[in-house]
Amino acid sequence: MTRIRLSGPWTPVFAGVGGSAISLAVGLGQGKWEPIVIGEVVTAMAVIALCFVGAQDTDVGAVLARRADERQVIIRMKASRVAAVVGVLASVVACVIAAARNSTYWPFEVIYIAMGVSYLVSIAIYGAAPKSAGAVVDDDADHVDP
Amino acid sequence: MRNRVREERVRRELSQAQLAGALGVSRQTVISIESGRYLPSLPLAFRIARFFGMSIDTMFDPDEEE
Repeated sequence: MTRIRLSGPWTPVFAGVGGSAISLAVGLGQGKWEPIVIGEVVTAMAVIALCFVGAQDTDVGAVLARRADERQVIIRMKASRVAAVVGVLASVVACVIAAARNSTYWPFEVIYIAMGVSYLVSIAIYGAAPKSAGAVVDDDADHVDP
Repeated sequence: MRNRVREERVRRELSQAQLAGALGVSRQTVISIESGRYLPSLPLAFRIARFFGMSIDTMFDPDEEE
């Protein structure tokens, strides 16, 4: 199985790219430059904040900077689970509201379906993983043997 | 489960940060293990026991509550 392994401070990068893309889309959609400037400034502030937090010697910093050890990997997984559940619920609520207002609802439907499918696929992939017995094993965890 | 991590670390006059560096984990994880809030994985438990030159069942006692 091909495994995509990300290392380094990807969280600020993803936040920056995502924020910039949304700002550009809003600005281009409205035909104005103000939303782009405001969006980019807010995105830049968020990226700086994430870099700052990621540099801290804390659990949050370790998880954001992807230098988590085995306990912090478990914290990251629990946090990811909460975020995924909130994402699914938000997509359902958004889909219902958009459909009730007779506006475009398919993007929320796509998010809902994508999260459901990725959940099932993940179970199949990780269930078949060779390192599935016993404690959580994560190759992202950086260990230095004494 | 009770463990002797704190006891052995203090006896060797190591800081939590020094032990964390030697084990390749964060200082917060050493604190959690010492306080019994986190049970280390088997590989990490072995690393801890080997670091202190003890057997794993001497280091971690499953019969004693923290």
